[in-house]
Amino acid sequence: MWGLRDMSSIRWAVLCAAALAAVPALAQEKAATKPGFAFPTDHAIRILVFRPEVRAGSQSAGGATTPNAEWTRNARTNIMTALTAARPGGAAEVAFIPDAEGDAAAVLADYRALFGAVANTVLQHRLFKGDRLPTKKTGFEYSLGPGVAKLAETAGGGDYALFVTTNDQYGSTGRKLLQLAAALATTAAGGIGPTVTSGQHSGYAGLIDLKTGDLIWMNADARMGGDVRDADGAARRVTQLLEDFPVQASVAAAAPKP
Amino acid sequence: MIARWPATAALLLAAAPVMAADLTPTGSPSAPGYTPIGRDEQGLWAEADEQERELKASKLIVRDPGVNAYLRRVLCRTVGDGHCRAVRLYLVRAPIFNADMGPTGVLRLYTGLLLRVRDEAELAAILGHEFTHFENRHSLADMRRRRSATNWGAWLTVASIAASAPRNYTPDFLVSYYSYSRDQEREADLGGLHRMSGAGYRPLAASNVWMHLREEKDAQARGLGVRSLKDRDYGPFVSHPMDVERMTYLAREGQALTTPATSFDGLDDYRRQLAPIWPMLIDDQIKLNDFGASEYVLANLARGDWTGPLLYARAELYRARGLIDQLTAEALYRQAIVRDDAPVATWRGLGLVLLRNGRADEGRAMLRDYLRRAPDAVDRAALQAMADGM
Amino acid sequence: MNAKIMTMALALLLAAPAVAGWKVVAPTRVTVAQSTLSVTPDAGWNRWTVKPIRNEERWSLDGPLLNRLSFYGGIAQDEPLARERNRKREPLPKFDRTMRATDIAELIERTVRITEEAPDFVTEAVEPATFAGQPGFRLRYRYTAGELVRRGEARGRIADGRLYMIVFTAPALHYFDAGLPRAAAIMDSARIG
Repeated sequence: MWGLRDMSSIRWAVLCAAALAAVPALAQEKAATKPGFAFPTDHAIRILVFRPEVRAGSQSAGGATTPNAEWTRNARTNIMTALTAARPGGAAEVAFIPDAEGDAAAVLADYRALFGAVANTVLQHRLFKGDRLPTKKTGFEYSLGPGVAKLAETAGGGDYALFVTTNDQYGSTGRKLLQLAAALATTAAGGIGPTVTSGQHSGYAGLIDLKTGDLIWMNADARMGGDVRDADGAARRVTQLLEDFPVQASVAAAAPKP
Repeated sequence: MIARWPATAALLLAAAPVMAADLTPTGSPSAPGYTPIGRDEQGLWAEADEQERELKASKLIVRDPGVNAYLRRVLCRTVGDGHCRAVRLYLVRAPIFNADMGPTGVLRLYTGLLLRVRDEAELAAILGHEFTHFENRHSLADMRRRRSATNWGAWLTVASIAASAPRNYTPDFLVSYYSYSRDQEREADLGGLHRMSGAGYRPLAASNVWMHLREEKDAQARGLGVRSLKDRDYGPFVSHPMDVERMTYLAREGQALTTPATSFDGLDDYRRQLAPIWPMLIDDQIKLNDFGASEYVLANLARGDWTGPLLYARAELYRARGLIDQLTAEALYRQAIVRDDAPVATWRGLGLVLLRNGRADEGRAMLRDYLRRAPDAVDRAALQAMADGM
Repeated sequence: MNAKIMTMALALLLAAPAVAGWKVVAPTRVTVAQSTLSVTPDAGWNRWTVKPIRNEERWSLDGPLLNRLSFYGGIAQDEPLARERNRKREPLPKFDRTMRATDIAELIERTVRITEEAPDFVTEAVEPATFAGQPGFRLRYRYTAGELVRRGEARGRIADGRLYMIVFTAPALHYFDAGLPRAAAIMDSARIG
């Protein structure tokens, strides 16, 4: 019985499956913002970013995915750089939440798990049709609760927390050739045959208010552009991920922190 | 129809050279300072490192320092000090008989396995098995095999459509993939056996694990009133060889390896070192609604010496089973309660079962006794009401 | 026919999930779980059109991962609290008409340990409480599923040999405390018959 060697990260798989399964062919991209939300204008805002969940690999002809270390490493670095440069919403400062130890690590893991459940719920029951809750068709009321203030403490203070997840499986040459061959064969067979897609590029991002814990904004896209393996592509990806992100009106009276 | 063939065939041919060669890693992955070699191994390791970040923070990791230190000692004795340092062993709370090994040396051992393994030698066989997966890079070979099987399956399927004889070829290739996976398991079984016997452990212990698992499956089936699945052949799509096969080849090879120098089984050490988590493991098992397997596991733990905690656990099993077993439960609680090592919860169980068995006064008195012994019981309010005759 | 088989066999696209539906629950007295159990909810609840088992109905405010209110409308003798994956080989524990509050707590614990693979299930409280006008029970528990700690409160009683029960479960962080007052108000409004 023992020796079932690789058990993939179940939580990730669940999120990813939900992200993909919940997206009907006609609506790949959706964003929502908490109604009536506006960034405060009395001070510059600081956004804390959770370590982006980034996966990059290749998709073989038969559809199996192979993780690629270099692509993943580059993608994470590129996305982090692009997020900092993008200054989402006009944030004065973007900081990454450092790895934690002990109790702080447990708090971090707890909120990651809760955000996972909230994100999953928004994807499956709010943003996309099919399994939507009728009372949630409008509005955008989700929260991690005011306990999130603890997260800000562990990262030297912050006003908002940003979660970013991307998954990129680049169709290999073999996959692209199979796609072409399948199309030819299907045409030859009078239109009867499989449709082969090449590559898989999905992602989502969410913003949390670190005082109330409320989910302010979320955006999900099952067919994203921008090649995260290079800096320019990652910048385009981040722009897409941050689509419809709320923008802070000009900060009155308060100068940015020194 | 035939005319359409060439286009697809050309594509098939074109695809072959495109599968760019990857480096073949060499050297021991458990050597100090080893870094993965080639695209595939590096990718696997990076992914496994991400998963380990989450695993480290998991709520279900058993962190008892003494237990973890002991498990590591057994691992190091089995595979050698030079190699065991590369392995990170995580004891995961899950009442299942399993363990797994990732490409980077992350070994997950599930608590249900510790409850079933009978001594240190059996544990060493399992740790040696998992280490062999790591040392022989089975994850990498497995990933490549799976990828190749699905590639061939997809190409032939598309070609079959082009040839107007559509058929899904993927299962044909998966059969060979699973056959390969079973070969890996045999290799790990024998690798583990040689490692543990090399460390002085009794080699036949490895075969014993499978004999007992088969007995447990029989006991489970008896408890359920169904036929035992111990010899069920699950067909070509399974990743592991049948239990009976593993039991047999491990016995054959184990006997050959038996010498006066390989006689250590470490029964007492095993029991003593795991004692702190024993009650939790037993509790997790008996709450699974699997009467036959649970009773078999308890009897194994007792080996004829029924301690207070084991009698209590067995009584709890019977109490949960419904009316006819309430009298057996009562008898078992009574056997437990006269012993010095009876858990406090024995008074609760006996009280509850006496109320069911029509001995209301004694049952209420027993519950009152329990509440005196366990004033902070979570079900105090409910038990008090029952003790008051409500 | 071929096209269909091909498409499925190749599994090149993720299959669409079975479409489950949700309906708004009107804020008036409603009977639930096709039984004589009735409650008066506040506005904002959604009813899942799928029945997990014959005598269970599920509601949610935000989504079943974040808050779930399950109504058990008369679980009969020897029936389980959840769907059995394999009735013969992996049976779930069954309800018995002679069960007391402590037995119901154990029934829920065993069921959740198996169906949600939650080995760290802990019962936090078992106490007598009125349900639908008669003496019943109130239970509290906690467990981890998929690294998320969840809490539950169950209230109910046995009437005519059947188990009537309402269970609220939600993540321990925020959602349990946030949703419990609304769930408890519904439990308080319960009537049988």
